[in-house]
Parts: sequence; structure tokens; C-alpha cells
Amino acid sequence: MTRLPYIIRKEFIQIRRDPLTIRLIMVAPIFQLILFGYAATSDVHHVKVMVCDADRSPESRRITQEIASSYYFRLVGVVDDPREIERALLRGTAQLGVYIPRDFERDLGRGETPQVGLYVDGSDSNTSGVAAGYMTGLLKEHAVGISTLAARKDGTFGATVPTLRPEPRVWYNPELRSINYMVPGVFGLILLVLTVNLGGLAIVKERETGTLEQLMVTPLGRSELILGKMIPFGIMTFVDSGIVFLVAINWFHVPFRGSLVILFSMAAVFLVSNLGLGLLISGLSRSQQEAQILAFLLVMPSVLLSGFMFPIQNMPLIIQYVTCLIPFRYFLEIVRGVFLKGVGVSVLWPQMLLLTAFALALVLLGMAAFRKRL
Amino acid sequence: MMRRIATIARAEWIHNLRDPRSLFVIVALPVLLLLVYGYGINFDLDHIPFAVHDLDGSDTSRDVINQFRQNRYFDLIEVIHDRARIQDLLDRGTVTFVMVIPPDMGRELGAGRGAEVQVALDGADVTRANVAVAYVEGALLDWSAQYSERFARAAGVSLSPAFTVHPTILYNPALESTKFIVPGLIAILLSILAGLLTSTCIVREREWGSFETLVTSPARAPEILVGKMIPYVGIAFADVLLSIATGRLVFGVSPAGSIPLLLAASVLYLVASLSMGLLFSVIAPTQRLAILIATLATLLPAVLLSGFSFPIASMPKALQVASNLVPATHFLIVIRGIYLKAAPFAVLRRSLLILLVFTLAIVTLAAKRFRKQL
Repeated sequence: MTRLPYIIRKEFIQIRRDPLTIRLIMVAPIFQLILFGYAATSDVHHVKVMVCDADRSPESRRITQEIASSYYFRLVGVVDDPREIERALLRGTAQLGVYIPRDFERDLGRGETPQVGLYVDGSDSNTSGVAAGYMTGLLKEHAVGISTLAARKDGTFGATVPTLRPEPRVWYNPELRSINYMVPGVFGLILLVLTVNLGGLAIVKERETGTLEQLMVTPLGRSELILGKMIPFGIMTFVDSGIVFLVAINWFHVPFRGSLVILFSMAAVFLVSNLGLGLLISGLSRSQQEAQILAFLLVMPSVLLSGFMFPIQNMPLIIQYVTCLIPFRYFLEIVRGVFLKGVGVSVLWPQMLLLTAFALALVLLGMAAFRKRL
Repeated sequence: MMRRIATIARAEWIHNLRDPRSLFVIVALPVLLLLVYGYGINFDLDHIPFAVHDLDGSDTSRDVINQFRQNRYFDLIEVIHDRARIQDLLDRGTVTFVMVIPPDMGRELGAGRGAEVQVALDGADVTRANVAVAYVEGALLDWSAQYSERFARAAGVSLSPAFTVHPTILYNPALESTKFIVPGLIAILLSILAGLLTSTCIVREREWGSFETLVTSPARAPEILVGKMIPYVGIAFADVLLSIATGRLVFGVSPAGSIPLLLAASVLYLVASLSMGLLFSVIAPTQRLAILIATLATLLPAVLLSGFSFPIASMPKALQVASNLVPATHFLIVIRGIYLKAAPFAVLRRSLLILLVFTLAIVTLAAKRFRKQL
């Protein structure tokens, strides 16, 4: 094992000769933080709305006014011709259209119940569903408001209506900031993508360029060779995750309520699991291109099915079982739990145990695959 | 010139055929990913797990709880009798929210006054929390409207809404998210694939030392680039056809609009993505880096900024501007327009034009960089 430091040094020298890699390793986390921190919001607001006001009365203008002043909507135009709405939806210049019919105010005055049309571009089912819900709520409330006002004017009804309202108390993340949810995830993502892509594939590269044989004829043992290759990348990504942690706390102001020891010890376990995966990929592939494709095939599902971007509970049951095989899933639950909920071992022990088991299994499998290919 | 291009194209083709395993993976990859994500990614949120803490115990509170029980969006997991249990359930993530019904709620409402239901939410998962708040609010509003109507009727007043809302959902009337996600996925998969295919094809020659042979051949720089790209356009186009077929056969999602227009737009997008990969291949010194840059510069923006998974309207202004610089944004408008809205050429002209400009710019840039390196 005394030979280990030498091979680590050799690897570091090799990395240093390649300034682009270093720059990339430093830039990658920042780039990902910005993208995930700012772009990944599933909140629906500022939905583009076009109003077709065929009545042009004070009553119809009040509705338009209410839509325009809502945080959820952005009024892109008030038109006279309902066909304009259809055109706007087709072109995507508006996502919702509200049609206020002619004689709307007169009908209201006569006690008739006019009908307001709501046109929804259903193609983006998620956003449209939510936006249409907001709009229906806004219009309904307005409609009830008009009749309550009328009833009160008649003097037939008291000052209040019995209503039951929710009083939301959001725990862990009171302002419901997406950043608080996404940024801790990036902490895990960096460990996953960089280690699998860089560390694991270092060995395929030696094989492809023929230098692996040179290393094999040295007195180095197999595990020394593997450790020597993995440790430098492990250290670098660990530093990266430290950067992400600091940026998350100081720039994005993500609350950190849990234990640093749990976070970083589990990060180390996750790192080992990813290096094991990289090693396994190296062992199974013959060329760098093949290894890359294989890595993609394994990393992409990890990212998309881990709950990093899309909630696992929304997935069909079969896929939910598949996600149990993704170590990233457990690490994410740990990271988010530690960051936002401040929970400790008493709550997270199942995830910690499973993650450790996966790490061990992947390293053993990786070693076995590596032995076979020698 | 044509002959030289054809020769390079054939050489690249032979290289791919020599490695049937990779070729198979490349062809099968999009179909496989489409299957996994088409089933896995689902924005429709129902069966939100919740618990209830009823401090009132009146007929009215039981009626509220019943309404939630019958709602398919909610799953009552537990009726709790101890406040401390709230923290426990939220910490473990067993439920998304706990509804606390205050004492005297029934009496307050019966007296014509308002009441509030406390909703303790797990804000750590922002997406779910947001949807849950909206659903809870909607369900309570509905219940409340019924209750106040009954209440008003008992007092001899009608409180029915002054006007009604008639929603019309266009393009995707059932708001099925597969219809929205499948065309988006095809676009994303193509950009991933294109990046994987071409980002190594020049740097590989450099790593292997065959680059000089290529340079000393009579082929000129643009000829080499075009020749290298042709086989991949073929492979990727086969993938387009396969993906469209998979979308139709497995998910029952087929384009509502013109298929020739869709195919032509796909080729345009493929050439843009493939030449982007070529550009990285020219810039990067090693295969590993080429892939890493391709991932950072194409895959992440394509997934995050293009509007594939997050609404662009909700992003900060700077990122909205940046999203215009991502080719996938424009291709998504085209492919979704054709799939969902049967949009004709005239509507998509602007997006197609932008894509064309992108393609030309990237090809020129790649050729320029390549010439410099010769």
C-alpha cells in the first residue's frame, strides 16, 4: 500500500496537464447550480391570457381588470373578435382565452345567468390544468361576489357569508421556494455525473490508449491501481460538492438545518457508490465511446427517475419499484431531509443503510468486472 | 468534391458497422428511453397522501373530511389524535399535508361566520406542495360554496354565482400529459443522441493518431465535416422514425399535423444538433471532455431551459432570454405544434427560420475552428 501515493500523484499530474478538465470540473457545478436553481421552477405564474370582450361594459372591464392584476396571469391583449383567441392559442402567444359575451352586463342586471367562455390551450397539460384552475377559481369567486353584493344591497342578507378557508402553514420551506428543493439536489447530481463520467472512465482510457498494460506489469496490485485511479477524482468531486454546499448556503440562501457530519459522510458513501458504478462500466466496455453510451444509459435514468426533477409518487407503480434500484434516490432523500427538514439518523436510517449496501455491492461488482477484463 | 465527401462518409460508416454492439445501442437507445420516460414522467398528481386532526368532531367537520375522502386527488392515510404526530408524519414524508380542523368550526359556520382550517404542508417538495395547496384550496372552496348556498337558502336568499364559466379545452381535451411529454421527449432524445454520436468522431481520430492521415488526405475541411456527419444523419433519422412509431404504437400519440413537415423539421434540427456535437469534437482535446462539454452545453439546457419540463414564463427574465439561444426551444415549439395543434407551416415559419439560422451558424463555426486546427 506504500505504492498508493505514487499512483495518486501520477494521476494528479496527468489531470494537471489537462487544464480544460480542471476548468470544466470547476465550472460545471456553478453552471448546473444556476440552471437548476433558477430555471427549474414548476410554479405556474404569468400565464399569458387574451380576453375577448364583446360587451365592453363596466362589469366586463372589472373582470379584465381583475385578471390583469393577478400574479398568476399576464394580459397579452383585449380583442373584439373571438377568432383572435383561437389564433393566439394556435401560435402560442396566449395560453388561455376568456370570452365575455355581448350583453353580459344587461343579462346580469336582469338576473339572468350569462356564460363566460374559457378557452384553454391543453397541449401543455400540466401548466394549462393549473392555470385553468386558477382562472376558473378567479371567475367563480367574482361571480359569487356579484350575487353576494346584490343580496346585501337588497338588505335580505347579513354582512357575512359562512366560508371555510384553508390556512396553509408550510413547513420546512415556508415560501415554497423551488430553489430550496432543487439546489440540494444539485449537490447530489454533481457527485453522480462527474464521478461516473470522469473517474470511472479513466480506466477505459488507459485501456484504449494501451497504457493499461504498462501499468499492469508494474508491481502495483489491482486494488492499488483502482484506488490510485479513483482517489484523485474522488477528492476533486468532493471539493466540488463543498463548493456547491457553500454556494447553496451563501448565494441561494438554502436553509441548512441538519448535521454536517451526516451530509458529508453520506456524500462520501454516495461517491464510492458512483465510483463503483464507473468501474463497472469500465469493466464492461471496450472503448471510450462504448463506455460513454453505457454511462449515459445508466446515469440518465438515475437523474430522471430518482425524484430529482419529477416526483416519484407520480410515477406508475412499476416504475416506482424500479426507482428503488437507484442509489441516487436514497441520497436525494438524505440530502433534502438533512438540508430542509433537519432530520437525523432516527428518520433517515433506512436510506443510509440502503445507500451503503448499494455502494458496497457496486464496488464489489466493479472490481469483479475489472478483474475479468484484465 | 462529392466523391471525397462520399468516401469520408463511407469510412465513418464502416467504423460504425465494425462495432455492431454500439450501433445497436445507439439505435435502440431512444426507443428504450422513450419507453422509460414516457411511462415514468408524469405530472398528473393525484392520490396525495394526507392525515387529518379533527378537533371539532361535529357533523360539519365530518362532512368536510368525507368530501376529502371521496376526492380522488386525496388519500386519507391516518386520523391523528395527537399534535406531535404532525411533525412525525411530515418528517418522514408519509403524508404531504395534515389538515387540522379547529374546535368550534361547526358552531362558527353555523352562526354564519367564517372559519379556517389549518393545513400543515411538507414544503420540502415544492412541486407537490404547490399542487397540494391548489387542490386543497379548490376542494375547500367547493365545499364552502355548497355550504353557504345551503345556508343562504335556509335564510331565503339565493347565492348562486351571477354567471357561469364554460371551459373549452383545445388540442388536448383530456389534458393527458403523455400527449405533451412524448413529442417533447422525442426532441430531447434526439439532442442527446446527436451529442453522443458526433462529439467523439473527430477527437477520436486525434486520440488514435489517425487524425494526421485524415488531414493529409485531399479532402478539404468542410468536406471532412460533411462526410463525417452524413452517416449520423442517417442513423439519427432512423431513430426519429422509430421514436414516432413508438409514440404511436405504445403511447397512442401521433402527430395531428403534417408528417412530411415534421420529418423535414426533424432533419433540420438533427443537422443543428449533430454539427453542435462536431463543434465540441473539434474543440475538445480528449473524448471524455468532448462528451462532458456536450452534456453541459446541450443536454442540460435542452432539458431545463427549452420548456421541456419547466414553463419558460415562470423563469427569471435573463433565463427567458437565454432559452431563445437553445435550439431545442424552437424545435419543441415546432414538434409540439405539429403533434398537438396540427399547426401549419405558416404558423411555425418563425421557429423553423430560427432553427435554420442556428444550423448554418453552427456548421460555419465548426468548419472555421476545424480549418484553424489543420
